[in-house]
Amino acid sequence: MKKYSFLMIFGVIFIAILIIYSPVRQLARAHVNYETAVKDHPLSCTSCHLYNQNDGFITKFINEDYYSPFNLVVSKDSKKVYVIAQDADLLMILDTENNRVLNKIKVGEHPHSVILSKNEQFAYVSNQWEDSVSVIDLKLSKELFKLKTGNGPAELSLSPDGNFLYVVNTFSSDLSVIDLTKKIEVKRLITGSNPTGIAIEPNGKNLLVSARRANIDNYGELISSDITLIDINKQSVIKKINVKSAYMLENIAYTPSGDFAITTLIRPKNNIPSIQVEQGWMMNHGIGIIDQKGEGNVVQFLIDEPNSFYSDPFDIVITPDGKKAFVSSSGVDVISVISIDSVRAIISKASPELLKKYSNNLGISSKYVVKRIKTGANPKGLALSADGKKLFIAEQLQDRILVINTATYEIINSIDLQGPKKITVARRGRILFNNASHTFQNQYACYTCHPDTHEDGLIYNMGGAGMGRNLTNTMTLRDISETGPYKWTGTNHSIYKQDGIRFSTFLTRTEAFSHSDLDALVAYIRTGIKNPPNLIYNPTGEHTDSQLRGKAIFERSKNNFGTLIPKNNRCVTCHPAPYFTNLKLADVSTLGTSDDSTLFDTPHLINIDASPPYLHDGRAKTLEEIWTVYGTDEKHGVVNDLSKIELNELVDYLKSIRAPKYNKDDSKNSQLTHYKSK
Amino acid sequence: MIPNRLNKFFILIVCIGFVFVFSSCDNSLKEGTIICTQLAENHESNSLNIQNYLNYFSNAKIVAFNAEKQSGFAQILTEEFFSACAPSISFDGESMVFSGQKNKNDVWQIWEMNLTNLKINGITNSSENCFDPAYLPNGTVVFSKRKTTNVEDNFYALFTCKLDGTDLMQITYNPNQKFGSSILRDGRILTISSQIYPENQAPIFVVLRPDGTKEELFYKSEFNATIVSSGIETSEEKIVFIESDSENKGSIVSINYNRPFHSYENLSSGISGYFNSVYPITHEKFIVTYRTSSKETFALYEFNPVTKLLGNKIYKDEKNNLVQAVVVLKKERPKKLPSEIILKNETGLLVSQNINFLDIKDIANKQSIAIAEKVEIEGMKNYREVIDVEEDGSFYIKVPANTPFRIKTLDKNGNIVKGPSGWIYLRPNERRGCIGCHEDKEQSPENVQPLAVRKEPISIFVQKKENNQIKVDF
Repeated sequence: MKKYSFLMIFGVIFIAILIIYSPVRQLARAHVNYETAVKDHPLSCTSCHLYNQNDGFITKFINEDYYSPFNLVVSKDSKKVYVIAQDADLLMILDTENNRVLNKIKVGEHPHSVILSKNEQFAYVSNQWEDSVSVIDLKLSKELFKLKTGNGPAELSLSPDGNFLYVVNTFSSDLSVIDLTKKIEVKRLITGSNPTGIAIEPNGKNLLVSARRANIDNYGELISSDITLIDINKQSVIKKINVKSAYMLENIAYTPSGDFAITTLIRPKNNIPSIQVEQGWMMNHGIGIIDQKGEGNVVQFLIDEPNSFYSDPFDIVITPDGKKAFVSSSGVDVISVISIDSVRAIISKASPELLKKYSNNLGISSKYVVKRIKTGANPKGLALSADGKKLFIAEQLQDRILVINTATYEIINSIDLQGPKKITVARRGRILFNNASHTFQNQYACYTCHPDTHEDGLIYNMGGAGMGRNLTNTMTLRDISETGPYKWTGTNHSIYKQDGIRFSTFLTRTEAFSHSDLDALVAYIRTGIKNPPNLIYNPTGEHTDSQLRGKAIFERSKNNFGTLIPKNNRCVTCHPAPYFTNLKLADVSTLGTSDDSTLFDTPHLINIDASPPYLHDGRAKTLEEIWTVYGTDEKHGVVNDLSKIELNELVDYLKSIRAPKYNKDDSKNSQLTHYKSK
Repeated sequence: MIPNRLNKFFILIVCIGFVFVFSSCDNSLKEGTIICTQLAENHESNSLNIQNYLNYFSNAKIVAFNAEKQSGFAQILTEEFFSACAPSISFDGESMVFSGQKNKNDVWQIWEMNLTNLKINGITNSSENCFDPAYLPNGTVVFSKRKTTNVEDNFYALFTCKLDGTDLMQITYNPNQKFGSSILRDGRILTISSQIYPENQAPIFVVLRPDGTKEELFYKSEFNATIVSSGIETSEEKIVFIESDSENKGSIVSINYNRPFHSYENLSSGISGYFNSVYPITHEKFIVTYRTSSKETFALYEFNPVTKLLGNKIYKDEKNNLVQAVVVLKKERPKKLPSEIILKNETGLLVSQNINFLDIKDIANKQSIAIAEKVEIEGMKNYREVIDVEEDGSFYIKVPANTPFRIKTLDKNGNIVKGPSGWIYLRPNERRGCIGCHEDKEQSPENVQPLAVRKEPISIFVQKKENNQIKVDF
């Protein structure tokens, strides 16, 4: 018996030694070290092989379906709140007196905003990934029908008479005018780039639409974004108001008197080498005031402070008395309360030169920001009660609606949407992604340069090797899970490495993500970021004739003269389906004089139309320019033999490329299998 | 039954006895314990003023008080030292660093005390005095150490090292005395800095990263007052410290972390008397050292920053001053900031956006300032170079790392427009930017690419050093 026990103990020790020192463990250690690019990441298989999986049986158990409230509207009596649950494709109706969910109404894919008809009989919900507006009968709690819109509908507004619905189309950068009596779109008006916000003048004459992306220009030029002024009666564009040095004009609101319209905005510092964060050298956040009395000049004020930043301002609402504006700073979980009278006083006293100086002043906010209200994770849409006494806040990543007393600024209620209580690894990653606390002085979150997990359309000088060198066009994060290596230079083979210690040393300039946080962030980026459907250029998967001809050019092996195109110079060689990248580096003759000698990573081409400008340094403003201006030496594909029409067809095909998940025959796609196995 | 009950009672008594015996042997300093420096009453009064820090404290003791008991018992923690002072508590509240000299003529060194068993270990073994240590969140300490390479170099710079004294590194290089460091929650060092070359200037607060990079002004008194204590960050994002007026009357001052330049508040303006140190515990309770007049000794008091009133007197010793009070507390660990320096790189880069930048005051006052077209970069020992700036007023220079320099702007005829600036230095591989000269510290830069960075940086002093044309003593 004793001998047996001794053998048992010896066996356990032997197995333990085997596990600890076995070649398998050493291999696992080497593998983890390689993937994470550090030597001290815990040897945990689940970090990558469980939480980073997109599909499969187990992933359904480890993930949860959250509601993620995005925008909201309040009934006139404040007894009900109508909430867009973006992740669940629902309109949720909440009882504010009893703090409960009254109803959940299924709407279209990825809803964005909701408004109510004047009599509160109907709700209109924009379905951003479905190009439609759901019209809901609130008495029946039922969707009656859908109205067709432009691409990517976002904010909505009703004409004063209630006969027309105005829908801001984010992806197609225009405004749909929908006749509600005929239930059809009657007009499409061009707006600024990537618009979301809309506000109707109190007198009902005009409306404003705010744009998020800056107008595309050469690197080094002063950036600017547009607010579009539209005549409601004529249903035509009056003018575009240029907002200089700013972008991400997410939302806009009028004061009740109509003397001002105020938009949220970000003032990026992308033209300056990214050599420090101190003193606001990377991103500033604020508001733009469009003076309606004069010539529509835009005065900008920051809501930041010298050592504290209020990143990613999203929504703005103004109290009925016109005294206060509330701005949600999504990146720092704060609502800033702004005294509009103080803003008026500053504007009335200051010279234009001084006002221009104020737009970069971090200290002046103390004159008009009267309160900072702390909220739950990621406050997005705001709504005021009709009397202006209550502020309702959609806390997107808290699955909760917060209610604030607008006089005392105290929390008077919080309505839990009854979402999952468990915070999954990927959800935690999403919270980290959207929160600026991992950047020095909260100056920016991952979201800031990657709004909606895409890219902000700007070119930065990261100042790594030397100031003024190696300009970098921000890359999308959508569908990048299988498309490593990362960075334009392809130097980071994994997202772990991309977001590791160098990321904190040169970009966030504060403490690096902990292993646990980095696990969560990677899990979110690899599993939670999807491209919207390509409804403009490829809604059904059936290509147009023009796109088919472009596809033939994309895949051709001979030029128009019958000469064989070398394999490595065919479009399809470097950009094969399903992600349209071969995951390799290449020289496509785009190395600039300010670039260090390097090859460039082949980017994926999913929804490429949504990612201008193009090439590593953003020098090409359009897809056409890649070849008509910069690719004439034929190192970036053979195109010189193409007619203008053929080049257009090639571009037409490129724009039709969509994410593999929208293709019906994904499972049969051998290349996709190849990607997944890599 | 009865014997059994007696047994249980006996065991209980024994257990209580053990607990009593062992608890009475427990030397550990519990959370809430106040630790301060004790000085003899007749100690020269000017040494209670940081302006005269070079005299430092003689025959001082570090003592501990249990604030709850208020028993009047001061436990001396540094019996084996001739003099010890400047206690600073670790973020986990389990240890303390301080400066001390074992014997009268010893060099001041940095020491660490375990607050559980009160054991002391030496950290530095320096041939020059080391003062005012503070824990950094990455497990190292920062402290002031005398540097005596040259006459004009004879100042106290900041150094860092590990707790075993290894990896000693000088992190500041301008000819400024640096004292009284503390760590902000954002991970930067907040320290008192006073220029001593070529002329003395009043102490100011500067902040810098733990690798010495990005040193910048944090606070400067607008009232010609002198900063006389470390600045300590409260949980309400305020920095509290003692400022002394011309009559040496110390007041408790609070500034906001978010906006330090325009948030000055004198918390003790309604109290006559002298404050010497302040240490925040909660939003309504500070521990201060205070005396009613110069005839009294500094004693320990509570202070309420909300009501701005002195609270309980915690301890007073008629024969000894109590100064530099700190409290054993667990605090949120500041951020561990990454370092951009590469020691093998011998240079740093500086870009200035526009030397003719006008700040808000200039515009509001409608001041017309002469246009500068050149900058003079002046090293110590009168080495200087003049370069033209670009059309937009920008310049971009490469300078030897760890080398102080200052800048003057010049008009086309070489006349000084502005300057000289304060002494600047760059750490190896550091890249820094400034908006202009004498810029408003609350102004962020315009989003404009400086023309100067479209070219290679202009090497200042570097080329000469490389070509051995001039032997520059860096």
